[in-house]
Amino acid sequence: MHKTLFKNPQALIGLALILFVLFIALLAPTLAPNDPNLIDTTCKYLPPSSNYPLGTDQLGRCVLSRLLYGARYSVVISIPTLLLLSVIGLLIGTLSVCAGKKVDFVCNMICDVFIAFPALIIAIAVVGVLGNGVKNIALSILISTWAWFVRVVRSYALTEMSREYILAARISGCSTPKIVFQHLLPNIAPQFLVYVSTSVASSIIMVSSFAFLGLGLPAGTPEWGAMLNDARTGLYGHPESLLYPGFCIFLTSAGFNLFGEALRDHLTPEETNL
Amino acid sequence: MKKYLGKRLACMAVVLLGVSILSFLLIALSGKDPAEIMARKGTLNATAEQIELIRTEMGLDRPLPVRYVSWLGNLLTGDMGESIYSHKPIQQDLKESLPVSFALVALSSLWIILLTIPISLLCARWRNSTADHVIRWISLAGICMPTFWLGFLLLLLFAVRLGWFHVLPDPGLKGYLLPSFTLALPCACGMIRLMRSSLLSQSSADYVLYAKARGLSSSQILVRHMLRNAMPPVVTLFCQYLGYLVAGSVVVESVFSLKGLGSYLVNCVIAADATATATCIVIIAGIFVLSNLAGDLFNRLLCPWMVRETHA
Repeated sequence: MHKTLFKNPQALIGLALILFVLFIALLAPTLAPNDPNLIDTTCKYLPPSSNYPLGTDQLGRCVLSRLLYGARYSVVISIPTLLLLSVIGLLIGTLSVCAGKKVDFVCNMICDVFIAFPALIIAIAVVGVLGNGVKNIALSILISTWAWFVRVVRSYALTEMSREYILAARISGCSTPKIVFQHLLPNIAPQFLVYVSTSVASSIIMVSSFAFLGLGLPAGTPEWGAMLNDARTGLYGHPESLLYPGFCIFLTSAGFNLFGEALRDHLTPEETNL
Repeated sequence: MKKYLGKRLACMAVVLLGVSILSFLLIALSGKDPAEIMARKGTLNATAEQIELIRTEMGLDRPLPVRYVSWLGNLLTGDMGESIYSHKPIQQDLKESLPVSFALVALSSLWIILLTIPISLLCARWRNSTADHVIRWISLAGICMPTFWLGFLLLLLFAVRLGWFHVLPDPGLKGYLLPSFTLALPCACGMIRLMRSSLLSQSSADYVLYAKARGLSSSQILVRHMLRNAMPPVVTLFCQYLGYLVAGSVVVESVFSLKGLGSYLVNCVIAADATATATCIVIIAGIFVLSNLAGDLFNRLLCPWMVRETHA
């Protein structure tokens, strides 16, 4: 079954992009030719050279090194946050389905309240309250999107719970926890992975939106969104400094989206053939 | 319908109440003392007694639930207090910024509709054609595009290279063209993908077979019958996007230097103006909840035969 997934060019491109970004994030200190934060005002806006493969920015910092280090912020914030979100989503989502109507109703209401705030808005407000810091950005993404994860898991679980194999398991004497862990979770895991993968893409865009708006990270951080914000003064003179960071965000989010999409097509072939 | 509407309105009231409580908690827990900020604004060396006096005047010494009720009451009567960021009454700030945001969101919605419907009809009519594949890849790329980057690319092309627009917003409608397109494109790409698959999922329905038997052409079936039946999920998504458009305008307004609700919100967050922040959030969440309700109602009118009792 999984062999066909890896024959799909879309999945392969997506996976290659994801691995590429992870690789860069891990090895940024080794790969970077210069210190990403070294300010040298004598070499502002240098053209690409062997010392500075992509040239320097308005403060004389090496653009390539900054781009390489930028991968760290996206990956370090997004992936652990998404893992935590998945756990929260699976726990509360299945609990909500299995624990009876009253619990389900209350869960749903609370989710409705959180979903009523567009994610970016509540995240901005939370960063405003908590102040700067990588942990606070992660926390604000957590607060702003957990309800969506619960909602998604809940809807998957509701469909699965009405299937016959669950009934069969129940008749043969399975306890509810056993049904959840042995039957329900393995069956919703693939669809949920699709959702998680596309969510990584949107959380990467969200992190860089923060940095772009000047929230959450201190000035001068080599983060892609922050670099775009720094580069906006060069709109007329140095447009290339606007192109690179955006392209990095685009590629990273494309990697997760492509992989997620290919996985979805793989899981529901009947819909793709339409 | 009446029963359904009543149920939905009741639920909406509860959600809005929750929204206001959360927003209020945000003010209360922000750890910043509004009394102190007010006192320091008047005199630089405010004494502890002066701060205490202002605290009593502003009613900040009362217990949280009492403060919540009076804050909510003031919000509903339109007295939102003074913004620490702009030193003006918040309602006056909103009067200046809301029209900008509304114009932006309205024009973006127009873009979305104009792009989505013809393109997805085209894709569904000539499925698996080259055009269909190209559009699928472009729309996938559009989803991955960070709006602020898209905005800069458009500025580079149309303002710097071609010189059709100015980098700072032009007066009137022209100034909204690029920002609204930037805001609309990622949403339109998501909509096109959903609408394409929604149209295609209709193609195996019985009524399509019947229409074919009556001798209607594929295009006629698509426009006259399938379009309407494919709309409900698209309408639902569109109404959710309306909320996102307000949120996304935060970023787009920053790129295009527009002074709407979004940039006001960010400035308030940076200036630690908790009251104004909470007011903005309540308004945005309110718009989101209302547009979702409007979407559900519209679907019920559009396709009454598809009505399902969802969780409500």
